[in-house]
Amino acid sequence: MDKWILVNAAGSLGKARLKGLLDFYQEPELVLKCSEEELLKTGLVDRGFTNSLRTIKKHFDLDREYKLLEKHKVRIVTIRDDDYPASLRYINGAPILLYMAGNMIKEDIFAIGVVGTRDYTAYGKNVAAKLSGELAGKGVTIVSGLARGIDTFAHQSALAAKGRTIAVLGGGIAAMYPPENRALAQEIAKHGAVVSEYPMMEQPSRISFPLRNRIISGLSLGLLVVEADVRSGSLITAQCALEQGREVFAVPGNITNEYARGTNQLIKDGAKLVEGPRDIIEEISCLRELTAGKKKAKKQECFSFPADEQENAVLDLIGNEPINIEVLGARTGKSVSQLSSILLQLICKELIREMSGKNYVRTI
Amino acid sequence: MLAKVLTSAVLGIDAYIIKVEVDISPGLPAFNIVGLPDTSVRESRDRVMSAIKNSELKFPTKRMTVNMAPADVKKEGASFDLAIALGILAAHGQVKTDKLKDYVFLGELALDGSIRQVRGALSIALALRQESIKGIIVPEHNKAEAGVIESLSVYPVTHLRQVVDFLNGDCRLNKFKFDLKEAFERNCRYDIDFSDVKGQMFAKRALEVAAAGGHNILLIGSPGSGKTMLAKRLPTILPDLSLEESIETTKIHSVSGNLDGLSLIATRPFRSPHHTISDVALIGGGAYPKPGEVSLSHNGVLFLDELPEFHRNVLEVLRQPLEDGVVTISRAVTSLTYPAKFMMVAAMNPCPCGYHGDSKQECLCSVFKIQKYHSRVSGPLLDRIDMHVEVPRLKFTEMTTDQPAESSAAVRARVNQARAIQQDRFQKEKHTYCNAHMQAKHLKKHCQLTTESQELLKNAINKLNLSARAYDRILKVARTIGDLDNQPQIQSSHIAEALQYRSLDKNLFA
Repeated sequence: MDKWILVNAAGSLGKARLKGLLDFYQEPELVLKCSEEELLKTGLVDRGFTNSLRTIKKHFDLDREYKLLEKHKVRIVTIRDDDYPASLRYINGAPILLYMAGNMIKEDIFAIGVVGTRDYTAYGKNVAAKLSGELAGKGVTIVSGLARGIDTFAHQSALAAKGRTIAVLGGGIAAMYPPENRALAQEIAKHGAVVSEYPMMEQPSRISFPLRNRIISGLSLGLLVVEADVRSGSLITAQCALEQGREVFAVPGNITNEYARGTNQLIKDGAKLVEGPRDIIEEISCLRELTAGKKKAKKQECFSFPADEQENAVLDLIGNEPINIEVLGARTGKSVSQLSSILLQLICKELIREMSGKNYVRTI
Repeated sequence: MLAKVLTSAVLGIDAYIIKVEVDISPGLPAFNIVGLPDTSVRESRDRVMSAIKNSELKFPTKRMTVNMAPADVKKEGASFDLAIALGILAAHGQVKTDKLKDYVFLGELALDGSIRQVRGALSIALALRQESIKGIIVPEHNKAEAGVIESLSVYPVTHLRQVVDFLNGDCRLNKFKFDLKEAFERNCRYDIDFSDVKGQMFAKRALEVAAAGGHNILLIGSPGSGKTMLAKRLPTILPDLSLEESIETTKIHSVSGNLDGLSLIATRPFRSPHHTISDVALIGGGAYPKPGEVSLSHNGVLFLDELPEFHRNVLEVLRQPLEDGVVTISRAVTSLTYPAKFMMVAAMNPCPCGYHGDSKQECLCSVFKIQKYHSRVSGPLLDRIDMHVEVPRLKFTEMTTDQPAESSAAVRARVNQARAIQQDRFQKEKHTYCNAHMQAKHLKKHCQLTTESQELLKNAINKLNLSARAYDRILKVARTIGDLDNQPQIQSSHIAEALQYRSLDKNLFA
């Protein structure tokens, strides 16, 4: 195991090349034994790698690494192990080992990646939470990157729906980034897994994030991009997904919203436009089978709170476009206190939703 | 020769009597003032000298010492000029001393001997009510405010010469006649009315509830939605000012010198300081302490427009007066208390660009930016604001409804009725006058919920994701809505409406 850790640690900036090196030498031990010139002659690595390998051999603190593994309850899964995720094994540049907190189970093969901007809008937040929650409720595992914003909401709503979720980090598990998601990561480890290909204390860098994106798409059957600018990591993930032969889905956005330009671009380029979980499920055959049984039970729940006559009168005026309480008052002729009661009841029955500016819309 | 003249000065908002003693003795010509005078008092030497000369009187060329007793309190301002001048003239024998001890003299002198207005005339008149004097001599400009105290004879004067002639028995001064009732009624009208605001029935109802319970309120809305217009009209629906409240408020304005010839403030004050205001200007204080904006809005409304733009430390100092209704300013020499019982109305945009939730214009702010903007208002301050109300910008067609808007008087009648119920409720309590001031023990006693409304509240708090701190505030506001409805028991409809007034707790902006 020592040899695996050392070789993996050396390729910090060129992790995707390690797979090729391993295929060539078969055993990590041989990689460590070879002289720098021999490694360079294979043409699989560059001088940057040999330099870092030299440093690692001299300075890497294996004892500390093992202590951290124990402290954070993290185990290492190599590409030779049986519980290495099957979907990841055959992608180009697969990680040679994964640090894993929590467990991955067989059903995690039914996974959808959900990614998006860190600088989200309220729309993005709602959609990310709604779609991941519903997918997770149907038994789909949600894979994301634990970044701020959309990623966080995807994980949270999957957990809230009592579903499974997997977080792929761009740094070491002990060097948790972003730090405010530490508690969330612990929660994820209980109902899924937190994985990383980086040594425990490695800080994330601007190169490591794009690299981990290939793991997010690799673990998933399809990738859903919720809100993304044209120059964002989410689009890199979408690129990875295409290279790995995964489906790419995108949530359309308002054309005046700069954070929706990336997703709209994806749709123009041929990604599937998503309005609800069904759009994703019908595209992937094994998900269709997985969710077929669970659909019916859900539908009955929706109609357990019927609205009464007065409430219906107000409900009829509320549509998918936000309508202001002033307008509702003028149209129904009801006073503020009467309206308040009715609106509150409708909200409690989850038939409508309040938006900012005292506007109300139907729930989708 | 020695002469004594009475005058008065203000400390905090209350006045005390100062004795000015002037001694003239032979020696090199000199003019000294002792008794902790500050610069503006010391400068009165030059004003007094010129005023005496220009009033066809003689300024003595001898050694003069002026003492102001009590000698251990710092004296500030120019209102002692008249007393000092009269003291010198009396000590020099140009003024007869027999009438001098029966009057208190107030006034700043101009170089030509005419008398200018002073600050705090009302406080001084109030303090003199108990003293055994025949009357008070005040500048013409201050006669109206001093005249409010009907038991005191007020003699307005315009020139030093006039006072000298009066003391020497050469002319009579006319006593100022003042009709307190008439003035109170004349002044208690507002120029603006609630019916000026078209539409906005939701925000107007919220203000009515706030006025009825004395709840502090935060208005959230896009630029141009009418937040300021609504806030300005809040005083017009508050309960009528009583005469005592009116005098108390006038006193504070008199001390800070912005009464501007008005006799009595009979309307509730509306103060709206700019957001660049300093903490001292807001709360009061300074080397010579003056009441701040919170005290100037005593018995009225303090409007803080663009709340998140105020400096953090400025908002934090608001917490004590909001809690206690008074401001205590402690300095090494003394500690003063100013009354500051006001209703706070704050206004802010929903987001930095101002158009979140607006129907006409797209909001360009990311959630992070909005959160940062909202976090500029601290939790402890928000804890003292019972109601957050969104004021949406209305389309023209929504504003032009056929329904005539209600006048302030109609709304005020309902507010008065609700306040009467509260007065009944809290008559045995100290420091509690309206629902907004209720403490935890009062909530337990007066805000019992039926099982039905309890169930509703619990359900709503879960569904709307309300924070725990909202709970007490919802109860208080629901109590007020119940009072407006004339119901002894809080109904579930009252809870439902109270929940509408907690916008910031509902996570609508993230």
